[in-house]
Amino acid sequence: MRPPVQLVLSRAVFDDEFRAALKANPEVTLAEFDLTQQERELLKTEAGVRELMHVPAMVSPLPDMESQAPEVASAKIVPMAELGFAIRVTPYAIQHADGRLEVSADAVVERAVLPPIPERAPAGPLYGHNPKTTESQNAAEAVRQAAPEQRVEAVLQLINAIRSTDS
Amino acid sequence: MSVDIYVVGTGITSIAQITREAEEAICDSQHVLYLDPSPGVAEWLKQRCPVLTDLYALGYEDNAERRGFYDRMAAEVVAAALEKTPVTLAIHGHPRVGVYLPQLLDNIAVALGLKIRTLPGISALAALCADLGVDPCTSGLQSWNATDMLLRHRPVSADAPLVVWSVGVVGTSLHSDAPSRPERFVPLRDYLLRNYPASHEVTLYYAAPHVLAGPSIETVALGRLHEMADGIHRGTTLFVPPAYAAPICDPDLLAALDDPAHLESLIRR
Repeated sequence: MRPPVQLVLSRAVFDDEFRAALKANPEVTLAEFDLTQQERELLKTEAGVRELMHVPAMVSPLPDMESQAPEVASAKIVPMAELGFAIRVTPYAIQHADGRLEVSADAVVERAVLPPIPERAPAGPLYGHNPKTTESQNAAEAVRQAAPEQRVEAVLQLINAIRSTDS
Repeated sequence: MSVDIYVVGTGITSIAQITREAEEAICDSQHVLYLDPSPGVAEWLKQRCPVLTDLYALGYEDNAERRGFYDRMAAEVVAAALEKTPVTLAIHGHPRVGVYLPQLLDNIAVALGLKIRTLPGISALAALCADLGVDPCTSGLQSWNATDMLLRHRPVSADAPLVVWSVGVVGTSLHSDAPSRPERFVPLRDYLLRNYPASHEVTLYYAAPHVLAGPSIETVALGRLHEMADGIHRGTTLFVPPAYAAPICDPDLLAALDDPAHLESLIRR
C-alpha cells in the first residue's frame, strides 16, 4: 500500500532552499511529476526524503478533487507555510480505478513567503547611503568652495563620503 | 522649475529615437556630457550644443572596477553643472534603465542642492518588447541583472517571461573587453536549469544599434547557453520565455469577470 501523498512537487521549486526545507522535515511524503532521475536522487541523498512517488503528468479536469483524488487533495493540509512554501493544487488531476494517479503540471508547490529582506537591502540611490550626514555635508561644502579646476576631485571625495556613511 | 542637470536617454537606434523633449533639453543646455558611442550621435549633439564632452573618453581600463569610472563620470557632470547650468547628461537607451550613473548623481545632487530632471528614452526593454513580441502587461515580466540574480538567488518563476540583463559581464564588477570563456556562463545556466528544462529555448538578444542594422536574435536550448560564449557581449540580454502557462487560482474571480452584476458591485453610477 503506498503512503498518502502529502506534497506534490514540481521542478518549479526545485532549488537548494527548498531541499533544505525538506531536509528539516524528512517525514513529509512527496509526489513529483517532472523531476529528472538526477533530481530524484538528490532529493533522497541530499534532502533526506524517504518516500518519493512519481505521478505522470496530464491534464484532465477534475471538478471534485476531494473525492476523486484524495491523495492530492490531502496535500493541501500539510503545514508547509512555516517552511516558506505553500501548496497550490489546481483541479486538474484524476485517479483511475486501478489506483493510478494522474496529475497535471499545474499541481505545484510554490513559495508562500518571500525570503526576509536584508536590513541593508538596496533601497534607492547608492543603496541606502546617506547624502545628508555631517561627513557628506562637509564634503559638499568643500565642493562648493573648490576652485573650478579642483571640483572633479572634490566631487569624488563627496562620493566617497556619501558611500562611507550608511543611513 | 529650474533644472541644473537634465538626464536624458538617446534611445537605442542611434539618433532616430531621441525624443523631442530630450532635444529641447539638449538645445537649452550650456554643456552636454554624453555616454553613447552610436554612429552620428556626437555630431547630432554638437549641432545643438557646442560644448560637448564624451564621457567614454575618460577611458575604461582592463581589470579596474567599473564603479570607479562611474564616479569619475558623475564628478565631471557635477563639476560642469557647478560651472554653468543647465547641463545635460545624455545616455544611450533609457537613462534610468540599467544605468548606475544617474543613481549616483541623485545622491550628489541632494548633498549639493542641485535639481535633476530625467527625461525618458527608448530602452533596450522597449526594443526587446518590439522585436520579440513581448507584452509585459499581459504576460507579466521578471527582470533581473545576471550577476545580482546569482548573488542573491533571486526567485524565478517559470510561468512568466524572464529578462536577464548584463549577461555578457556576469560574474565580476571589474571591466574587461576580452571575450568570455564558455565556463563564465555555466553558473547562470545551472541557476536557470533549476526552473527550466535543458531543452527550453532561450533567446540572446541585442537591439539594433543603427537604423540600417537589424537586431541580433539568437535562440539556443538553455542547456547549451554556455556554448554561445563567442556571441555574448556586454550588450547582450537573455530572454527566457515561460515554460508553462500559469494556472487560474481563483475560479470565483474568473467566473465573475464577465458578470455584469459583479461589475455593478465594483463601480458607482
